[in-house]
Amino acid sequence: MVLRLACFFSFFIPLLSLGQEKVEREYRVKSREVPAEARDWLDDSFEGRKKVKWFMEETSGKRSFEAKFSWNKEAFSVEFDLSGKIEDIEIQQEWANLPKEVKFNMESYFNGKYSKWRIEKIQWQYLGDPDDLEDLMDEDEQEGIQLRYEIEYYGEGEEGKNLWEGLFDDEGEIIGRREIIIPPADNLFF
Amino acid sequence: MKRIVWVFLLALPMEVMAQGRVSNFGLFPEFQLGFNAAENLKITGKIESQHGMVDKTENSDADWGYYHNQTDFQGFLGTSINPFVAITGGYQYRLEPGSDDSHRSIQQISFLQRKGNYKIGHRIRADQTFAPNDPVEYRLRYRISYEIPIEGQSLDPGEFYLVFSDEPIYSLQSGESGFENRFVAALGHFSEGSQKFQAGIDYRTDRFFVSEFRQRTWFKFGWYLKL
Repeated sequence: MVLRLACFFSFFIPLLSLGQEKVEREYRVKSREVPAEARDWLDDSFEGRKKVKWFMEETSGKRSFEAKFSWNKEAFSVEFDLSGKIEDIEIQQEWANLPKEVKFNMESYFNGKYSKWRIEKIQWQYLGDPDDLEDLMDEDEQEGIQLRYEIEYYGEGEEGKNLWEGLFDDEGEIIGRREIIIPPADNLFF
Repeated sequence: MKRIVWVFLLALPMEVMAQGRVSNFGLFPEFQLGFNAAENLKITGKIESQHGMVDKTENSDADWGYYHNQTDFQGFLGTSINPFVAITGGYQYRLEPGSDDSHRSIQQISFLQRKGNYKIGHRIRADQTFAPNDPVEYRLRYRISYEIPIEGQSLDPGEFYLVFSDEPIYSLQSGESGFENRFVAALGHFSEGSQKFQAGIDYRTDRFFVSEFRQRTWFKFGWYLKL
């Protein structure tokens, strides 16, 4: 129940943070530094997966563990809180794999807001309690699962020419977005 | 991993010198400062200086001894077309012992690509060098650079990275063509406060079309600061 409430309220956080900048830091950590609960959940949910790379992620003051690996030829990113409880599962996907209605709604948003836009990266994001997420992975059971789309895109419009990370609901309606600031790369050009 | 990279970078000049055609090896410090002067106007200043430590020509002993080779002062004004493309114009003043000081005008367009966990930088640059008593030298150059994070999936503050770049340069002076290639391999650290530190090897080869084929190897280390 608490998790469901948390998910419900977290749904609105991006709306409040509309226009914020994405500030993120991610660095490798050893498997033994990750709580056993997280490692066990991963072992139960993704049988036969290959080597996992563990990261500590810091986003706007929030810290979490992130497991990255390939499974069934797809790139997975699974996030856990510091106690080892799963927060979400993200799967990298192509534009072509999005449902037709979702693509239509996203295109309507992009076309209405930008004169020119381009998708850079798409991740399907699954939220739910640990048991439901485990059932989703090993039995494709959708009950209790909330699906969202995290889209990295470039847009040219009245606000200028920027790179954004947009969060869309399961129907492709915008929930929130934040600007992605590319770290300085002057060392590559001068 | 970092130790292996350091061993490789520090051993490279010795490997090159052992091949017998090295003309010099030295130190190459550089400092770069960039800031936004207006909403879409970026100013970049850079000082780079070459200090020779040893010269060697084929079939002769290495000549060890310090000398100042050259120091460049550069200033650039640039504007971004979008987060990935920038157009820049610049000027360079060069101090070169034994030669007249020279002036250089520079034009460049740069492209940034984000590929998975690494970045690719493309730089297309034209420059014209003016020195007393010398005909104008025109150059056209293209540099491709890879910046690869060592510790994470993306380069974040507090992390180390590798940089590899290669730049072929075509030059034309008094109707004579020249060709030079510059390869750089370095280890860098992206520090807090939008600054980067890099150290590595800058390996330059030129005079391909004449008998005096030349190799120059520099231990290059730099501080790149963005305000």
